[in-house]
Amino acid sequence: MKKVLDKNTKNFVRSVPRLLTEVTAFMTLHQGDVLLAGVPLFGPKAKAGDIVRTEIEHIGTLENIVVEENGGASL
Amino acid sequence: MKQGRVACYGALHDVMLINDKIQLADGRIVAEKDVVWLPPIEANTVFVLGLNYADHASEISFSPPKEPLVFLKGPNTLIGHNAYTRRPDDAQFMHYECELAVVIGKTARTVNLEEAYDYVKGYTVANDYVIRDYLENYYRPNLMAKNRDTLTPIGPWFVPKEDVQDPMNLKLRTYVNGNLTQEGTTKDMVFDIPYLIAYLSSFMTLNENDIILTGTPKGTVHVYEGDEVITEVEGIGSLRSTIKSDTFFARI
Repeated sequence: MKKVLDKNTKNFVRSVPRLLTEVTAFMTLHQGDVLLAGVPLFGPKAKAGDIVRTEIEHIGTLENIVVEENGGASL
Repeated sequence: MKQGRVACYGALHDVMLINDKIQLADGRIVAEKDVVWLPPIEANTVFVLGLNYADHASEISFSPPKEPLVFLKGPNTLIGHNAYTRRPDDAQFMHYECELAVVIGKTARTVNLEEAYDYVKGYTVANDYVIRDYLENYYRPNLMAKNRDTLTPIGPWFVPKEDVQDPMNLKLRTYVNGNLTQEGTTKDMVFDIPYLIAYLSSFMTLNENDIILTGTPKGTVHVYEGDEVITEVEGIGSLRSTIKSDTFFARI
């Protein structure tokens, strides 16, 4: 397990309130809708076999395994 | 047999078209004026084709794409027949788009062209309105142009595929305030229905009640507040919407 990205949400181009303001200006968001707030530039590449752990302070740690689409384990 | 979903007499009902009359599941016949139409399918993922008719692509100064140009719509944008679509007051270029909507019937993954229709449940009509002022270019997300609330009327009827002899040979027509403004045929799609199902299912799974809006032919004209727009697909249905201003949708 190797750290490949280390950033902070304080560096958003658009803050969460600004995003919500801009999106709800032209469409309605409903309970349960999810807004993905973006990723820093130059995200590292993922390849088959990687175990990818994405983590946000106080929010949680999410693990995911990358599998080859063709010829890999069937999902 | 044509099927729909309506609100009527204080409840939601599945309805059928029997001898040109609207019949509730319990057998009651109801007058069209007594029903409020809902989208005929509770949609899962909604796929939308851009520039899938060559004549329309050239009309708005694009070359037809080499492979399907597809984006997704959220549930906030769908409304039923006879409803109101919101036109932003500052928009200059609002267009309707008459489209054949293909409803997926079962889970589809890596489907080939020959068996693609096995995965179709049926068809309905959509009007994929666009506020073209907000379109940057077609490779950029077009939420503001195409995913606004009420911008995609769909219905009134869902038509099972068994009732449609050749979905690739249906006339499309749009009327604005009773005048015919758009005319085309599904024959002229750049990528036909089997190709679209094969293409999408080659890299993702399609599920029951996913809907593919297959694009619109030439014949876009600007529409304005108060206009009544009817998009019609031969044998499938005739879908009416009325355009209202920001004021109509204003919150107190």
